[in-house]
Amino acid sequence: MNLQSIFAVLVGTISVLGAQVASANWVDNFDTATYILPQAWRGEEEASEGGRLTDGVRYIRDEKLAMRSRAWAWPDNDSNVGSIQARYSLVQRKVANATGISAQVIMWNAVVLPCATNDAPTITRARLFGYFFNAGTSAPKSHLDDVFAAVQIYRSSNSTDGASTLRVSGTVGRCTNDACTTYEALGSRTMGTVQRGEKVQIGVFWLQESSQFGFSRQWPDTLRYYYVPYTVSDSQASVSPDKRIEISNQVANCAPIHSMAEGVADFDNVNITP
Amino acid sequence: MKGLKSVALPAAAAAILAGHAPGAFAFPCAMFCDDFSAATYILPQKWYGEEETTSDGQQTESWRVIVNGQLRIQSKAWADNDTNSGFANARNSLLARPKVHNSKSMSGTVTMRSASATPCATNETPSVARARLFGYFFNVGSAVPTSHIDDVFATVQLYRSSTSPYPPGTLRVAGIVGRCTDASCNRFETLGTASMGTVEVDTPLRLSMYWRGYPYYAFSMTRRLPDQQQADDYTVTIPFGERHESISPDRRLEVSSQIAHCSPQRAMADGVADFDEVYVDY
Repeated sequence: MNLQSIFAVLVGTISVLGAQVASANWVDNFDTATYILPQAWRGEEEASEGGRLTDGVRYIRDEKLAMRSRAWAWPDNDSNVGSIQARYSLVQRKVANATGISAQVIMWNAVVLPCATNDAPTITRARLFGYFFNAGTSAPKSHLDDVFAAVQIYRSSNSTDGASTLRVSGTVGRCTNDACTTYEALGSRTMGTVQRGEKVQIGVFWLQESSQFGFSRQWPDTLRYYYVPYTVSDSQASVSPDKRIEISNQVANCAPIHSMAEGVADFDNVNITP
Repeated sequence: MKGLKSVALPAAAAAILAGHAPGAFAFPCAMFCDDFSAATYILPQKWYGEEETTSDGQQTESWRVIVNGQLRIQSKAWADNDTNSGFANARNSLLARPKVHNSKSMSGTVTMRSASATPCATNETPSVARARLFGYFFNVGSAVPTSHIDDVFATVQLYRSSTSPYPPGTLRVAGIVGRCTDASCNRFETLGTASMGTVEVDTPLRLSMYWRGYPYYAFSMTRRLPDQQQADDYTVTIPFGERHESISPDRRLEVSSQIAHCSPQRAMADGVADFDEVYVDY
């Protein structure tokens, strides 16, 4: 079986083989209850030093998971250097050590305020994120050396695209501190564009046998695959192999006008691969 | 215990309590305050959000937004379903950005829109959904850095318990003062409480709390309904006064919950509340 076939199985596509394997996946289409199932999910929010999460929403609307998060960079020293990270997440708790996650995502709004005095872009993302393994010694309570991969729909403040155009990308990184607020990039793939309000299925999968991560994006009749190989050791487990659905914001430190990022997105038909 | 009306209050308290006179609420104010009408979003120069769960609690639904010129907070939280002992905590909070020691008072209008807490047949611990004003005021121990241990907190709250004898829609009102007994204040010793009656959901209630300090060693807590001329006053006396500053004198608006661990049926607490006309003395 070639790489694409393996990946098709993991994605759970319309191929016979894919359909057989997909039955082992766990799927939430958010229509079995009017609330988020506690046996399947837990909410989380987090901001790095100087980051401020203010407005946020996480609930079921029209049988979809609706999420909105607004974050500001507001360091005490009014810096114009660097940026903060903030996220508003739902963490899956149904499948231990999941190797993949895909979902249909509609990003309804993406607001990013540019900063004239800091070259760092401000970015808002609707994304699927996971820690998959540890490339070091897997210290307890630390994400140091954890390897993560994420597939995301995003808008950057330095975008030259049309106002309604969003980018899609896959990225792989290795955490360089305990909380993984800093990391070393191991690779990334651009995956085209999508318009605000347009539904797109995206996915991220760990293909350990071939030492790479796979990313997918699908329209109604087209499925495209993207791969990021890695060379780091993957024999250790991550300290916490979370797989998350989230609005994630990177906001440039900016003074005297503070920067902000806000993302609004719906998630549906989340498919978790064991 | 009721009855502090005859005691003259210091200026800061008088300013806070000015909000209790109908029509006396004027913005902008000289202190830290917010009526959530200046923008359609939460002002980052005044506030930041925070979600927290402890003891295997998990928060699922969450709202923290401006709705019709008020701050709306929702928190739905669940506990474990593999034990029938103990409980989890969860909160969805908005914290005032200024961290000012010696801040003595806080007030706000709280309208609880809904509150539910599922009972558990196999755990006597009640589940509770609350909308509340909360603050750490001072430390009565040795003020250990990065620890809330021995911090004294006060809260005035509307709440619904899974063991409530009242009809659906009726909430209890209470003031509580406690001393943290662990670093993150997940555990605490209750120093005093004030039972402040009941109120129905969707009814705005003006709440305040004020640390009276030496020689009273007491928190004044008040409630007032919109059509009420005079606030009802309550006092919670504690056996000591401030010794050190709190490690972090947070002032929070929040929906918080206590959820009983319950097996096999998982227990839940869900609260939705609007907050308005918030004052903190700084």
